[in-house]
Amino acid sequence: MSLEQELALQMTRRRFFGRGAKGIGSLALATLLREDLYGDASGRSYGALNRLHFAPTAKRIIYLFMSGAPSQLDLFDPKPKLVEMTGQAMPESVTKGQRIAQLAGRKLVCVGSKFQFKKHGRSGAEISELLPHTAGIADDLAIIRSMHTDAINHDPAVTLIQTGGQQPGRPTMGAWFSYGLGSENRQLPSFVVLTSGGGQGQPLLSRYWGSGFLPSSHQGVEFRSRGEPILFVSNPRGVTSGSRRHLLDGLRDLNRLKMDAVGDPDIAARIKSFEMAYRMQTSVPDLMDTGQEPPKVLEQYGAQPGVPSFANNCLLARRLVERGVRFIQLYHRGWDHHNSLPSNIALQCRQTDQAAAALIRDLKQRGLFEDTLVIWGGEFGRTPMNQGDMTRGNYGRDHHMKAYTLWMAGGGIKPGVTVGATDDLGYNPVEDPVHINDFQATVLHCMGIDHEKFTYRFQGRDFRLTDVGGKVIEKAVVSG
Amino acid sequence: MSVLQPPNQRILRSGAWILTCLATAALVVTPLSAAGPGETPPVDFNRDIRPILADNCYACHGPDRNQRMAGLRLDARDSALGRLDSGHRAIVPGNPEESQLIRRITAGDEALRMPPAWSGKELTRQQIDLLTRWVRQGAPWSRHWAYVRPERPSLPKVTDKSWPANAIDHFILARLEREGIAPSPEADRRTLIRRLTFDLTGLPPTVREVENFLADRSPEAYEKLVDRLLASPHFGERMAMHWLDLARYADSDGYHVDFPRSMWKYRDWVIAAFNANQPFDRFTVEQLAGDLLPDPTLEQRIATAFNRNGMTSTEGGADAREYLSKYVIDRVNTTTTVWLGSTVACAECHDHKFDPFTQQEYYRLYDFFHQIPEKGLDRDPAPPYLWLPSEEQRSRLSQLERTIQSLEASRKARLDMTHDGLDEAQTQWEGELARIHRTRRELELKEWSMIGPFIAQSAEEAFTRAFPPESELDFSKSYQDGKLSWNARPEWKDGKAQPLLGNKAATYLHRRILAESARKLKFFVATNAPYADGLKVWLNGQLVLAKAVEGCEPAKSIEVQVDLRSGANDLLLKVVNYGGGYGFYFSLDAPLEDKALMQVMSAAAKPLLERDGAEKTALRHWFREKNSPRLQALGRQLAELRKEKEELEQDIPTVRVMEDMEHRRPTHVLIRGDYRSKGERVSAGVPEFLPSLPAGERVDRLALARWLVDPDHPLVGRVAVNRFWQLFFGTGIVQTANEFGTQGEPPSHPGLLDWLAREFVDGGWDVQSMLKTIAMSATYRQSSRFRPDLLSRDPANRMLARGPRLRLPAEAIRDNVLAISGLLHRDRPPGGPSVYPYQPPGLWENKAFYCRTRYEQSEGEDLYRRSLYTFWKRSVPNPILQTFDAPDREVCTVSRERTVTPLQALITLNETTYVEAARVFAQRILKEAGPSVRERIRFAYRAALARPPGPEEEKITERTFHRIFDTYRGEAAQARQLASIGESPADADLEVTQLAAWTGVAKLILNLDETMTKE
Repeated sequence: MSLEQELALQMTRRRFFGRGAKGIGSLALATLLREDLYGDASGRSYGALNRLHFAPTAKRIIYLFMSGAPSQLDLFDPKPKLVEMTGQAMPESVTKGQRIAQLAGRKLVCVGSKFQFKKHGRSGAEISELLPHTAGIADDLAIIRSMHTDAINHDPAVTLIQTGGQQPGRPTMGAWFSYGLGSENRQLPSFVVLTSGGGQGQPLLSRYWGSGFLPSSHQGVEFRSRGEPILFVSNPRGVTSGSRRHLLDGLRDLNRLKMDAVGDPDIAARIKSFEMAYRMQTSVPDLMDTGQEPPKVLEQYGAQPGVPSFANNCLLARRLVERGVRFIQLYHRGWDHHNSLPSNIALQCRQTDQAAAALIRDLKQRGLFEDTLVIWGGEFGRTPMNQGDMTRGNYGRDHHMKAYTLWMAGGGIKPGVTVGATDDLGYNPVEDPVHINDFQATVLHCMGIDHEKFTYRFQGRDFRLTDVGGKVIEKAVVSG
Repeated sequence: MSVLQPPNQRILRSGAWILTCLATAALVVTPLSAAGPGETPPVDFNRDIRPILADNCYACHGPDRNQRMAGLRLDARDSALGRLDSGHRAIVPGNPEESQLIRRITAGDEALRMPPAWSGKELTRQQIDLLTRWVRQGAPWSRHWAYVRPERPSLPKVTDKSWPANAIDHFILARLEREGIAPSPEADRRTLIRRLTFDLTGLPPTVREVENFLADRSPEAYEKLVDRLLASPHFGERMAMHWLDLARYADSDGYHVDFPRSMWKYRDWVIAAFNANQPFDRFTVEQLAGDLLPDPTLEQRIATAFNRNGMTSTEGGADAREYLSKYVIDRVNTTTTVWLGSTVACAECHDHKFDPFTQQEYYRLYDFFHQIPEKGLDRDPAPPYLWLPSEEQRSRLSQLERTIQSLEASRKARLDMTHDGLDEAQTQWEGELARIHRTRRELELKEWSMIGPFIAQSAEEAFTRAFPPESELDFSKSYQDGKLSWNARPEWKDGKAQPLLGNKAATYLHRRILAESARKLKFFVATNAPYADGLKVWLNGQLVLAKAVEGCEPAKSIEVQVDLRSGANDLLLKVVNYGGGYGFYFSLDAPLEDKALMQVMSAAAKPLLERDGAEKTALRHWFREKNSPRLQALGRQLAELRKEKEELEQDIPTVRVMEDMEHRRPTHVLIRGDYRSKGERVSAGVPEFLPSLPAGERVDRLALARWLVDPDHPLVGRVAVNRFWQLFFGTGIVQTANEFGTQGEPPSHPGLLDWLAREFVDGGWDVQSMLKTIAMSATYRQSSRFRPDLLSRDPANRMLARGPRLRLPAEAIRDNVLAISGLLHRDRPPGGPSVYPYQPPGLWENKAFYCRTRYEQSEGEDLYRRSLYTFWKRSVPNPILQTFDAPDREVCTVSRERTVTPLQALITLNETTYVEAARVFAQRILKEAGPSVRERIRFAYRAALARPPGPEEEKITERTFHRIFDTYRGEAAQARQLASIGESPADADLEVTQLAAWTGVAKLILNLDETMTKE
């Protein structure tokens, strides 16, 4: 089948099923042609959602995941009262009956932040001295201080925020988008994962970008910072330059012969998959070569070409966005500061603050900010109670699920707002609490999707990313 | 007949035909109720009505008590026909006009209309019409089909009496004849043997097997083939590929750190059970309750590992009670999915919304699996477990223990016996030590000072970048806006490790050493963390040590020797943290790990009279260990034996198994599934809508298992045969093989499903016999070639007017190329520890929890072991298996997807196994085939596809060979590189550019769609 014929085939599909088509028919057909995975000649492919539920405010997402859970009390949620009470016992009325992680059974002592907070920008967002660069983009952010979650350990908490449930087996956010919206380009996957190279911390499980019960083709494709950027994307050594193309030409001809003989549409899909793999082989090295960026840009991010880092990944995220990748998931580890929090968090901020802010500025400068949703945050927060040694200026914090901070910016997000508030000790939200499912509903909302209508039937149940909850955070999104 | 000769050239000429048939594709698929024009067909409740009610109404008018509105329950007849809270009746049989249900679904007023707008549901005209007709016809009710015991149906009548080979075909053909579709002709014999060999062994047939089958012209040739394959040891391996998905078998814990675990004895049990054709009822009972059988055998206890395969956690700060409850939930969900074909998982939090299954019943099932004496957060082997040494291992271990004990005794004796000669030598040695200590007095080691951490973007950068202290040692200076300056650390004592701060960071340490004269100095340095960090050492500006870190290596002290000059010397250290904690250690006496040496050195530094007894003993033992040849020999021997013992102990497999505690743990309903919110107490029991447990017997897992395999159970037989069907045809008769409840899809051939179920159950749950019945059917033997008429009417092939054409499952994808190339050791008996095939470096390590994991590639045969033996690490699945849709095995998986993606193409083109297999296959082609290009091509096709190439294929392949060969002309170096990929050595007899070009052809053939497909 020639490319022209493929195009004609897809046009037919559009003609018959493009408008008002509902349910199994068109979906089965798209599946039959594996269209959800490959762009057509124009690079556009069709996901399970025939049409969006309403006009989207964002077309793509960059999610900067801070694995290990950064301390909101030292970064975004100043608590003078807690500072005052440092060293005193945490009132039992607050903690009674609450779930406690590693501090279970220990004496619970208040510890305030040792860092200074200031109001920034016209919005007057309060941001700690640890994040001077983020402070510089305060007017672009919606800072949500009233996040809360249901899980108190890393694994279930990351699973919850990525999939809507704590139990393994469900698709992650990026997989849902890949499934629902398909791909926008012909040489790269629609869901890409970047992990900051080296360093250590809480483990990263492939479940965190898995496709759960969705077809595995929707799982995130990891772009690695060491070794081959995508597994097996390079030719093996000793493959001469011309021989690969000859092999693929022969393969295409033989597979077409087969296609003509047995008529299985999967063969057409297989032919396309080899061509797309070939395009990936040439486009990926180009994509990864941040050395092409002007020195000024590298400097803004604090990135060095070839050196794996969060900064480099932020820059790559922008390059991926420019190439039509829909969902880019960054993971940066090392925020799990049970001990020696002040020194560790300072270092952690120095590795992330500048690049995150540079990303926002860069997107703005390129006109990409208004339809790119950027998210920054971890899986839960940290306790107002001390953990570990508490000496002059040194303290630690345990896992805290009742309240934490996350920010969103860009496509459809109200700039320069702070949503929600926590009590004087930073233990519980007292204003506009935002559950993980609410956050997920909001992300879907920005992409033009009604979280209650975007479902997948598995084992007799219509599953959705927001599980059985979810309410869009109205105060954080641009209305209308 | 060649595969390349389509039966209808005219239609199949080009791709254009697809256009024609796809145009109508959306109009088909679902089974339709057939009725002639003008006649009002009877409405079938199960087929037509229940799905509408379930989808649109049950959420508020279904089994869930807490969500029920208006007192209306539409999943049970009595209640649906009874009076509502309002006094009205929802359904008045025979009278749609009086039925509130019909009035409300047709109400003009949107506020009254059902389903309400807020639900997002809407009934179609057709659905309203169906409901109305149904009420008019008297609202006949029947139970959901799957909850009623299957009865053996009589065989449907068919017109073409010659086609059916067995009962299956009657059901298939009857449906096809009703639809006016002819079945496909039988596939050719080459296709059949390849199809069958993949289906029953997961491997391709060998060339000889194909030839033997073709040569056997007897009428029983096909049946003999089926029997031979069922008897093959590879049959059990193939069935295990499938069963291990259900059993969520893996070699790692799954949660958080994802530690390795030893469970492969269970995997081997599964293989053996299928090979022994263990009846499915026994297979069931042993896995669910083997431990509770009277005098259980070891094998029966191993079988219970089925329900210990679930994920477990060791995460710090986790609440064991929460995880214990997760483990039990996993067992309930897995067991019900595997045997009842229904997920009851939602009843963990509330009554089931669609099926008559209450939350209370969920926890009654929970109680069965809640009695295991497990603690919740144990590392492997998490009790209860079995320790399973082989006879050989057991006897070697006890032998080792005895030898070690006796050697240790004689060593002890020797260490303390009087021995004048040795004692004299010791005195001399101590004199020597004392001299060393005296010469140290000629040195003055000043206090340490430090500066840092200097932060970098990565550890590599921190290691390579020269921060200011490397270019200028100016202790008065500060850096980074005054944040970093030199600090004296007078409190740091040598020989004691000091923690440092910062991740991906460098800290510098400095001390001045004054020497009376130029001399050598030896010292030990370490970075003090379980895993190595970077270290550099300079003396007087000269770099004397640079130790970077590659991956995760355990930390070790390093001995450094420097040449001190007379006078002042500057010793500068740079410690670079690669992650986790880090620190610094310095000692003139001993490495950080050698506590004994440290003790000796400090004892020796003391004057004789000040030494206490322990110190004296330490010195004597140390000296004798080092200087008595006998003791040294003993020490070496003991070290070797201990090492052997340790390795042996690690090799001895364990397996986690089920056991019940003596005192039952109370089970409560967990409100909203929250392990801390206990509701009413419940005891073990089975759901009410299913048959009940036999009265008067003990209610435990054994009772549950026996209840499942009662011949009258409505679900178990159907669920099992449906999965067998799925193995052959890719899709079950019930497509939703994991959901037989009201939300599942109805069977495409209900009669066939029931016939197979009865045949299976009444025939003694004979698995191999069931598989044989399917394999012998004419339905299975049809050609899988797509037909335009079918593509328009039945694109998903649910009516089975053709055979299955399906991409191979992940394991078979890889096993196939290993087999074709000859790398696979086909004769190796099944079983054994999991293996570690090729995998790109760093895959495990880069995302691990502080280096707690390392991938050590297997060697030799194990590199080419069948893929089901690949170490199954849940958090980082093997990339080949994962990319070809193998599940991560975190939860029970009933059906796998079959995707086609570019990542698959990258694997089959570039991954080491494939490149090596292509080269080894090329070697085979060059050695075993005739000398001409064409002969070689024909050989290759036969070996890979069980058939010769067609003329056009031969031409394309030959052209490709010449083109690739041309690119290797004069490129012997490149060719050699290609040939060097993989652990198996390249055949040195073969000319290397020839080999490279044939490697290209071999890879071409291994990448064909047909090679990856069961046709």
